[in-house]
Amino acid sequence: MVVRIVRNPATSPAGRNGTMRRPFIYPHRSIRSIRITRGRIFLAAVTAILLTVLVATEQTRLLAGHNWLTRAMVELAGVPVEGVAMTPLFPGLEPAPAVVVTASRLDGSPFELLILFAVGILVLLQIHRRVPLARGFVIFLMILLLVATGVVVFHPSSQFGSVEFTQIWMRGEMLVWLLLPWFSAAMFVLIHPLFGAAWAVATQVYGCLWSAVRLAFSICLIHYSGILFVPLAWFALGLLADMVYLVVSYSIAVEWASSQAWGRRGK
Amino acid sequence: MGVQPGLGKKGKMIVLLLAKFFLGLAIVVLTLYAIRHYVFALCRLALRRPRDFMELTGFSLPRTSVLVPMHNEEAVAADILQALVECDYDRTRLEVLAIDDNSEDRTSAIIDDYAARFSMVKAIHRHEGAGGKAAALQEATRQATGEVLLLFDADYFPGPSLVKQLVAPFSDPQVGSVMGRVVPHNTDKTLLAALLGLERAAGYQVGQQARYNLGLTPQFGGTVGGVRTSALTSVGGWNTESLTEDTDLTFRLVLHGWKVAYVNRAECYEEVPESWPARETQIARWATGHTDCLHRLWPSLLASRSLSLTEKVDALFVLCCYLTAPVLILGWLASLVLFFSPQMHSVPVLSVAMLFVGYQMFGNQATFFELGIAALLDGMNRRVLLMPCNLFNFFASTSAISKALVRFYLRKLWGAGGPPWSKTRRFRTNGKERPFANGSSHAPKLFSQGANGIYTRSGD
Repeated sequence: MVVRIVRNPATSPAGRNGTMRRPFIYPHRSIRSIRITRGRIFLAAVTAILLTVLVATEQTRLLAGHNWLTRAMVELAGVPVEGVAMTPLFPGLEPAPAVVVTASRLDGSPFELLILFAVGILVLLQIHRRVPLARGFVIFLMILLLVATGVVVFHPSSQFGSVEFTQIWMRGEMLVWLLLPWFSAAMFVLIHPLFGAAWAVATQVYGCLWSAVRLAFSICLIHYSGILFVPLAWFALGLLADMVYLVVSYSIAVEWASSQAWGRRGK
Repeated sequence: MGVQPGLGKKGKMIVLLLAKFFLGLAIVVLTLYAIRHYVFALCRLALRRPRDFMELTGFSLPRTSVLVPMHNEEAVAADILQALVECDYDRTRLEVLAIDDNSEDRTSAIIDDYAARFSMVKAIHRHEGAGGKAAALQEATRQATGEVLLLFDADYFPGPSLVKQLVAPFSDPQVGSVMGRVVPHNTDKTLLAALLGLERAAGYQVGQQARYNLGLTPQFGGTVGGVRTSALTSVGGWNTESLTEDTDLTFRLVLHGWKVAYVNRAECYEEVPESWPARETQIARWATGHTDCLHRLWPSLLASRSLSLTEKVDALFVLCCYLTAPVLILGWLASLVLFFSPQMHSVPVLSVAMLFVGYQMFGNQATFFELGIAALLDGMNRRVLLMPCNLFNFFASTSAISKALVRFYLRKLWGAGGPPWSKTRRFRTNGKERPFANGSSHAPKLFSQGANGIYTRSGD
């Protein structure tokens, strides 16, 4: 059965009033299942194992490259880099190099703290007002900002610098890079073998590069505003941002696989 | 540790302990749900359907009553009634009970107009008694003569063959209830509507179908579905106290040994909320109703002898699903406390850290995996690219559900009754100031079948 709703100004009240904006209601045309063959499972496993082994064996170079990129972007932003410190991650993993910058201490400058806090809250309020769908997310960011301000005012000894933050950051990222191939394999390769395998590799590379960009941004924040915005950066740009690029990557993979399966019949 | 000023060593220890407990709870609960999502999506992707009742369409035509409860539905009432009188079911075995539930607009007049013109349409006017959908259904069920009761909300567009498709599974005497698939038609209007379209696709194309494939219980959604009259009577009728009488009925039926069938191809078009306030009202009602059902039904579900262990576990997963929102918020707040704790800097065990990262990143990914599989099966090409925006929907829903549940538990604590039933706002106006085409008192014919077999709407 194909049901089609056509805007017809002559007879349809919806058409006359322009309330039924969509000219067609798409018919239901779902495929019943997708065959997950042994070949696809084998290719997925090979892709995941290869990428994991590559990350594990080349971690020193990977971490050095990540740090080089981070440092380059921090310097590009005009933040003076004092050097590089090695920070341990986990037993069994190589220590990671961390960019050292001077961190702003806001506990001694209440006026600066007030201005930064006010600007942060105002920006978040504007987003809250203009983007209704993002309100839940923004409210959580506001809570983070309030807590960070509280920490600066009432417990300044809990503030930390770029090395400690890099340690927290790289602990998360290193694990993401080790786990990512398995999820990429399950989510990309099973739905489309060859494109999926290539896409899993591309996502892995993108993950490393994008992590360096986000870390550099967070280090610049630490330099200019201490830990005030760090919880926000950690929450919004940390593992959540990793999840976002994985979702984006996955949606592109599905779009590609769907286009291949459905062609022009797709919706 | 910068938790609170003036907090002693013992106090800090308690706060840290609580933070770890809530974070652990969030990780465990959400990981279990994530595994469930992955299992469902992979099963849906790979498994063939066990039984397809579509093959029986048209072979079994029991006497059927279609119930359409309406409360202030003048904008959409004519469309649904017109669609139902145009359906291809045997007219001698079909009645449409249009229920005007305390409407203050022209709904009553529209219903009366249809009842006057079509003998199969019966008008029921309710101006007394408890309000709400369940009470309206209870009233209509008393007057219905069908062996099978089908239900549609007023904003739905049933196609000509839908009644036959939904009735077919009742040829199995074990089937007490049937659910069809809901497909939003207004997904191009706002971003929220588009996101809800994706969410509905995942819920039906993957969630409901996978549950059905795996021999679990698909959920009867109270619209685009039906219930066997004898089954309804055997479980004591509609629960007028429940905000989600459909969920309540689903589990009462399975507790009495009835099966719920899901027919993915019996699809009906609906309107999803286009604005966030409307969506918030809807999801708050669902969260409250679901959780209320959980409190009433969990002992019976656990003690049931007619359900397998897997069915019991899945039923609890369904009923607890809205509780994950406050658990998630507690987990976030706990991780915030731990962020400023020195312990954050010294995660000792690699496997614990992997579990944490795995949950944070990939656990939350599970729902998106389900969305993607649904999009692939449905052939959504461009629309699937909106999937990342669903994160905002996720945050907004988490906040709305948590607020609704806090209100629910406060009312429970104070011994207050359940919140009143609230209708979801309709966005289709259909020229409600002139409800029928050309200003006439008769609605236009909705569907007509062309020589090529295509059903077309609106006088093509």
